Amino acid sequence: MEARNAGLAAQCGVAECDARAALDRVLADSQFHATERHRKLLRYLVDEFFAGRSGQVKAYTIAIDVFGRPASFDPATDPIVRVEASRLRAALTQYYETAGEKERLRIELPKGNYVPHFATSGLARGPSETADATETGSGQEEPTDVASAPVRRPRRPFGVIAAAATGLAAMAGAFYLSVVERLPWQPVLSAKPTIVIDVPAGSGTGGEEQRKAGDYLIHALSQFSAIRTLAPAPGVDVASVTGWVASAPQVKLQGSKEYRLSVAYSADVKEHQVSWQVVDAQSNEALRAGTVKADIDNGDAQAVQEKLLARLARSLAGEEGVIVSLEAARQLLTPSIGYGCVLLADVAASRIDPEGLASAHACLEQSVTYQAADPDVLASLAMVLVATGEASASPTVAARAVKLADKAVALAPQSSQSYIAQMQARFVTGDTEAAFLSGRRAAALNPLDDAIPARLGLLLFVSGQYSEGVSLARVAEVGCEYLHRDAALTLALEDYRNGKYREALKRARQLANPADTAVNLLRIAAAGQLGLTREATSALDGLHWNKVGSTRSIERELAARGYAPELIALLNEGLGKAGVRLAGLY
Amino acid sequence: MPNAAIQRGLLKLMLKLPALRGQLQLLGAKNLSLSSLCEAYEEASSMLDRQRRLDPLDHSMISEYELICREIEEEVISICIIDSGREPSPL
Repeated sequence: MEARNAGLAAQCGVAECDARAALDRVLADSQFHATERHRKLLRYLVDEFFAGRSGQVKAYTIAIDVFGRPASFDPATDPIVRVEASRLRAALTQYYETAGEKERLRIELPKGNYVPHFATSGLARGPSETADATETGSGQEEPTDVASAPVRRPRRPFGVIAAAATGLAAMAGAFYLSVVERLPWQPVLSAKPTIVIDVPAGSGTGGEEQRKAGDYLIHALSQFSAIRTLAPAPGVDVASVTGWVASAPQVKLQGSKEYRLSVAYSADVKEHQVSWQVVDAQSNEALRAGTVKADIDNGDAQAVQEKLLARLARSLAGEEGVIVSLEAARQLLTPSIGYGCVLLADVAASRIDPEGLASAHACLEQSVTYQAADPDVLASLAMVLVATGEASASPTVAARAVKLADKAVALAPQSSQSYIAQMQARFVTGDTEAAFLSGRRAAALNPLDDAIPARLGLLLFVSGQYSEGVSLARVAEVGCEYLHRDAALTLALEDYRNGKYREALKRARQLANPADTAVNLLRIAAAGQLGLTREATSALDGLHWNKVGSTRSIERELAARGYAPELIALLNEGLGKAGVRLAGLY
Repeated sequence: MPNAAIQRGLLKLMLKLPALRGQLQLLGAKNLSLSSLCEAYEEASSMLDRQRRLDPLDHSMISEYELICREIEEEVISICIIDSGREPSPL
């Protein structure tokens, strides 16, 4: 077997380093019109070839390793591998006929098997020619019997490899930046990240503690719909939230970045401690690490453990959590459509960034044309339509937001994000009670996510249900490292409503964001009540409502966004004292 | 068998892209990329038809194959455009 694979290499007369360089060149060339799938497939086939495993590469292994198909994949009923291999073959042929015409070393994918062929210039043979020799005749490509033992690889200094890898990463980055715009029919699709929980097995009481901690962490993380959670061993039900059923072996989702979360749990009579580390599953690079501790004050060890792990889950998978931040940074470097747009929207919405929201909107619209049934994309688009103010300005857009959110709920009834989107869309159409019901469902689906009570609380508060709104904001405030903007605004509005203008002003100052009109209005009003005219004027300078194509006054905008007349009147009173008329603000 | 699949894929593409029928017929015989895409299109569109007849429907599978078919059509269009640029039409 080894002899045969080595023979193939010799027949090609090509050194591995040259072949890999040729692969890097083609992958980095923007003229190579191949999808992300095809690039992955090509790299996989070349890697397997040089690992001496070409003989083991079948449609089944490609489907599992490259296309993220489940272990139950059957090539007879799902032709995905044959289809994509044919498309890759076409892309390679097209490339070498046009842009790569002068390429000295060409990579070909002969028909009938999944073994790449490296042809030097002048020796290149057409795929059909090779096909004559290896065609299976069944129309279904399965590899012919090719050697599988490892090929002896030349030794290379580490520095050269590192330099090549750095260069490749730079080229890949440049490619990704250009791909979304330049190749509209071949978008890079991304999916939500995957976390594989890795809890080292221990023995005795400590081992049992570790196992229990691992189980609870999987349960906690699986409630966050921003990530896919995989248990370390098969058989753990993560389907309850993600809609995805774990089976052995674990299945990689195409476009999904995989992270490994290593957790070490220790407990003694005084305190519980959990040390964690997020590792890039592909590169093994440790990306983030930390330790969380909790004192045992009431003696209930299990409650302490659950609280500690819930906090960890929130800081990893919640809004602006570690994984979401890592993914958002990745999205900025390598733009993609699909889940990448959802991240853009999340970042823009949390910063109330009108430009970011506009580009996330365009990105999501593009994603919907490709992924009309992706609940995360649909929910995010609905939320963006609300956040940009388009939904409150136009009943047609509001109806579309509701429809998108309803579809997201239908597709992912276990995802809290779908219900949050439904809540916001329903609220903007004036269906407040239905909106609150959606919000409560979201909170029930993920009690660990403090952003849900914060958002629901603000909507309840501004619509006039003050006490319930405040109590939800306080729920979000408890046990939280940072206070969600909506909860902070609710508490600031409550202070203002109760005449505690100084406290309200302090909270509004803490939330300082020039683009956040609601906060700025509150700041002007509180400053007006306190007679701080200079502060009111400076806040007024930065005031502009994030609205699209609307010429309504801010007063009418507040009403359109569901603010209770009583609350608007209270704000107006403070603004009047600052010398500003709400009805005159645009 | 594969030749028959290529032929069926080509015919389906000619039905789907009527404006390119003539060019596809000419290119189908000589362009290796187009042959590969025709074969892929035949497999993908047949799979899509099968999926659409299933009960219950597998929406993710349908979306995936719809996307693949659309992408192949776009790839075929771009091959035709490149070819037109290379050999100006005698007309």
